[in-house]
Amino acid sequence: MCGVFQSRWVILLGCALAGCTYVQTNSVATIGGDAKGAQLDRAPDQVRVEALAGEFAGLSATVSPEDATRAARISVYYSEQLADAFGQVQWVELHNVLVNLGLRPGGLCYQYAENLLAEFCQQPIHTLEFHRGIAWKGKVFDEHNCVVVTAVGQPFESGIVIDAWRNAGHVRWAPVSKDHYPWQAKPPSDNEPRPRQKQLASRN
Amino acid sequence: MKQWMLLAALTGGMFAVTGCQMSENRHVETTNRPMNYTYEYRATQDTAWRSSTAADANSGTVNRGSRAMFDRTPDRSMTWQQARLDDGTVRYVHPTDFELVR
Repeated sequence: MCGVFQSRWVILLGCALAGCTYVQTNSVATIGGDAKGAQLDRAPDQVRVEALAGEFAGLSATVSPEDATRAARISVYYSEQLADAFGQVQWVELHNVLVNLGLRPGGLCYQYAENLLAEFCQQPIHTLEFHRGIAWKGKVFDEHNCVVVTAVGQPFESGIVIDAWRNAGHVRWAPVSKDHYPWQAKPPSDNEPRPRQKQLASRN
Repeated sequence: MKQWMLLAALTGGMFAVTGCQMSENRHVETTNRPMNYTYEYRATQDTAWRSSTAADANSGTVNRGSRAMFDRTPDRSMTWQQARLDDGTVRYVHPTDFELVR
């Protein structure tokens, strides 16, 4: 019995099986695709902020550069700060184990997504909308959650995925239409009183 | 045989705890989320930090070139302003000793 419990293989097998669906971990750039996205993943934060701001600004001519930059800063830096607050370990599947055992205060994908969404919605951003996205909903080993950023009034499918969990707080982004996850808009849950997306304020 | 059964049980248990990140209708408490420090600056010289603005507060040094994250553009009219340092701590620093990272 002790032999079994001491075997690292058992632990490795369990963790490996839990993440058995192949997942793409690099960002995806609208122009340049996976290769450019992977390159940006290795770039300094400031470069990543500028690149992501460009993605947001490219959603529509109505997106203000200030809003795009503010949203990009939150995506990059606040994801890192959430990871610190959660005591994130680099191997995200292992981190999930720790969270579910009560050894970490949070860090599951939907916890990242909800915290990011709350932060986005608190900002004075008027030309972007923030949505909750979900993929493989209800599938125990596959479900994933994110925030999707769109220009105001534009369809969910036109947006940019912001995924803080996949790379342990090092935000991953991708156009919804180019990502391998089958993202769908997650409708508001019954016990969520706050608005799920930030609407364009009246400019009358 | 017994070992295989234990292995299967253990693996199943791992499945149960690792795969469980389904949001369902779970409410996520976000009101106590960390403060947002998203303005990236670097120290232009070795400069002091303090844990508070009290006279007897703990203090230390932010080395030249170190990163500090502010929650807004540093207000150079202030003597002290809070910033998040690279070690994750939030300290009071001199905003005049930091420049925007470009």
